[in-house]
Amino acid sequence: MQIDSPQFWRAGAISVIAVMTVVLIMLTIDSLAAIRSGGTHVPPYTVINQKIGYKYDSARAIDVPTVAGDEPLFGRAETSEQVAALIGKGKLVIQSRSCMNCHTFFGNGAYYAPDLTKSWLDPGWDAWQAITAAGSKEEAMVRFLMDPVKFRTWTRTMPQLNLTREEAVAVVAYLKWMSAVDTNGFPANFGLISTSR
Amino acid sequence: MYRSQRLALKYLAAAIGFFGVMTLAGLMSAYYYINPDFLFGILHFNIAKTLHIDTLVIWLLMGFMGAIYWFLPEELGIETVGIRAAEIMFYLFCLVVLAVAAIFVVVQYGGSDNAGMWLVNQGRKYVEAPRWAAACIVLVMLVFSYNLIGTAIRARKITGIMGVLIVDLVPLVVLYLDAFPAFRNMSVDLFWWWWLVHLWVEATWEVLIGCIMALALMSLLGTSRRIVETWLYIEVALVLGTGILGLGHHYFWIGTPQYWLAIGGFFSAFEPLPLLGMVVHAIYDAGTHHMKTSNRPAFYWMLAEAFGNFIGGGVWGFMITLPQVNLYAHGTQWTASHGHFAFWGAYACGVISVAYLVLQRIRGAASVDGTAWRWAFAALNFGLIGMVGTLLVSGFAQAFIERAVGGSTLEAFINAQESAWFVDGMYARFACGLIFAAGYVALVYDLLTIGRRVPARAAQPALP
Amino acid sequence: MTGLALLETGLLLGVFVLLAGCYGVLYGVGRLVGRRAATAGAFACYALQCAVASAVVARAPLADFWKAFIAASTLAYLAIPPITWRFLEKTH
Ligand code: HEC
Ligand code: HEM
Ligand code: HEM
Ligand SMILES: [Fe+2]
Repeated sequence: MQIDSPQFWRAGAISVIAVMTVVLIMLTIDSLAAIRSGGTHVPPYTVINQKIGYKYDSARAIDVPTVAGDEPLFGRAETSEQVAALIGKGKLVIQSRSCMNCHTFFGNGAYYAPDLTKSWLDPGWDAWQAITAAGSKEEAMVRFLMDPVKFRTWTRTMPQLNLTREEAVAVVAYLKWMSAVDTNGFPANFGLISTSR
Repeated sequence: MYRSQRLALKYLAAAIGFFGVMTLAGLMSAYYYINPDFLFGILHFNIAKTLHIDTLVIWLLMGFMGAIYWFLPEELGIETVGIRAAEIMFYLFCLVVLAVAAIFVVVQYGGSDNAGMWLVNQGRKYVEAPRWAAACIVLVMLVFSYNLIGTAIRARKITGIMGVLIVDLVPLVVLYLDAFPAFRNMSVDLFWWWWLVHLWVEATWEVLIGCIMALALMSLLGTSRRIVETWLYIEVALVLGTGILGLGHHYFWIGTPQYWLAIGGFFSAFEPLPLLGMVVHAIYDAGTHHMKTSNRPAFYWMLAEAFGNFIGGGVWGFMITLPQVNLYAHGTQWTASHGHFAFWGAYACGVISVAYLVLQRIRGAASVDGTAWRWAFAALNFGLIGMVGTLLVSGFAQAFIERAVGGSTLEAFINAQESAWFVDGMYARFACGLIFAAGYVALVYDLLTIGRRVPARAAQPALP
Repeated sequence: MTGLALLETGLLLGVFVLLAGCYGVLYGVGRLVGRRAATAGAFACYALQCAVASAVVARAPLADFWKAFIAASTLAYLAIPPITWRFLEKTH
């Protein structure tokens, strides 16, 4: 076979594709184990019963989520079945209202509205807690999600998406769980540098 | 003319039609950034934007299918097998797309349950279409595959290009199956979602457009099959060799292990190299034919494809593909700038080129030239380059203010969106979008009349 | 990475590949029309590309791995247009 013959390159193409595909499949198997809930990078859903933070880890030189102590959502610890159902509901709410075509999750989606990866940890909820006269952060989030027009903070307003209370609670649980996923340091410096508007 | 080629014309016409819908929806989406009260309470950004990117995928797919239905009978020398089913599928496809568009605009949101996913809106970027519609699209693609494979079998003939095309159908269809599941775990959801998005646009589709451009080259410039096929294999080897593991540049931050930073960055950083080779190839072809061809518009759009693929994919992609840059550029208008440039260069220009090629043959025009196509070419490309340039400015401002300085909180996001650089970029983007839209109008006018304005060669079409 | 370093790095990386494109185009044109000026322009672009690569290696806050990658790929970019061209002539 000569280097300028199609057969040579066909064989080359097939070999390259075969090798790359096999490597990809191996990496996929490894990654799927790491990202299942309770894997090395993704926390179990019951993490929503605990206190979550986001801290600089000098060994890895990136920000990583921290999980320490109890802090159940709405002060009620839930069993793992209840939590799994809640998270499943939250995901379907997010899909059904097409949140991802305004917001990003882990930086994927649309760029019209803020990234929600670490929304649970956003310092902005302090202000919202005051505006919504809520007793806790999670209650403030629920009230905002149920009436984003009333509790808007900006000219670009999030529309009323008619979430029921049950749906809003599921979304809050989802956001709390998501904030505990190890994202290799994305977003960087979250909330460290306070800017003033 | 073969029946398959008449179907091809329908597909190309539908593609150009949905291109118009996409442009309109894009302009709307862009307008919300300038006036967030636009249609508030009636139709929001997310719906307009969903229409924009879904019709984008649809019109390009229809363009590819049109191109293949056109070349298939010529390539194999017989009428396409299962052409009746293919014709029915065309109407089904159009009907489904229109129905989904109507559902998105009128119903907008479904329930947060299985019924909502099956009937109304799945809310996953690019694959929002409800499951019933996704199932219809799978059916369309299966019939399309049957057409190709069945024709090859009946013709007892398989050319190199056809072989690549048929093998490529497998990932094309299989990857689309990710349009169905609703994984609870966002990391798992995005993991497979990127198989669909990245492995379509940076692997499967690159191969598809490579085959189509190979067929077009033979038809337009009469390049020999041996040469075209050799280069197709080289392109496939290099594009997939870098693109398959290049997938890792989307696995930096979605919860996946840290080794993806090295793997994704490394392989995707090689992706511009084959694209550069294609540019050199285009220069060679242009030069050896002294820019002489009876179909200048098709030829210019083909050149635009080679350059656009390199600049939009290679240059704009390389800016953001190393993990340390991507950490800040990820999910900002910088990404949108790259997405527009790459899709336009790699795919849209190719489909337009094929449309000109087909129209010349159908209308039997000795030459398709004139001024209208030049206006269209200039306005579309100028408008698009303007849009990606202004998006880049906005993206820089956003990556700087929101990500690097502000640490990505809601407040940092708002600060970035309200900065003068960002706001000016959004206004300028909208203005360039209007130029682009004007180019679209010129394109449609030209496609409708080209070969009819210039005296046609004899009365009879040039085809059997 | 600071904001300015980010924009600088992003731009340098973009210009790096863009110059490779200019080199490729001018190289092709030079071979086609046999003009010295085009070929000289091609290598001028390549020289600029090397300068950009050095700037990345010297200034950008990227990990050493990526700097080594940029340095190595600068060599690959040098080879692509001539190899592609020679191969095009061989196959046509
Ligand atoms: C039409 C676009 C749009 C859609 C759809 C949308 N949002 Fe929003 N969202 C916004 C905007 C704009 C803001 C900023 C609002 C403000 O500051 O008043 C926002 C703010 C938020 C915030 C506060 C962010 C923070 O970190 O402090 C959360 C949480 C949120 N949205 C969740 C959701 C969820 C969940 C959905 C889907 C059920 C959704 N959004 C759908 C536009 C949208
Ligand atoms: C009039 C012209 C156009 C306008 C005004 C426009 C506007 C927009 C807007 C506002 C978005 C949403 C970005 C965001 O989330 O903030 C978008 C997304 C997108 N558009 Fe366009 N667009 C136009 C033409 C095109 C063309 C011609 C293509 C491709 C050929 C295209 C491909 C895309 C893609 C791929 C996305 C998703 C990008 C991403 O999220 O990263 N658009 N467009
Ligand atoms: C040539 C065909 C290409 C097309 C059509 C294309 C299209 C796109 C689109 C539409 C997106 C946005 C996806 C989304 O979030 O919705 C994207 C993201 C991305 N592309 Fe490409 N691309 C191409 C080639 C490349 C190449 C060659 C590179 C690298 C050198 C690259 C690097 C990236 C990166 C790093 C992202 C992620 C951006 C982020 O983190 O937000 N792309 N591409
Ligand atoms: Fe990609």
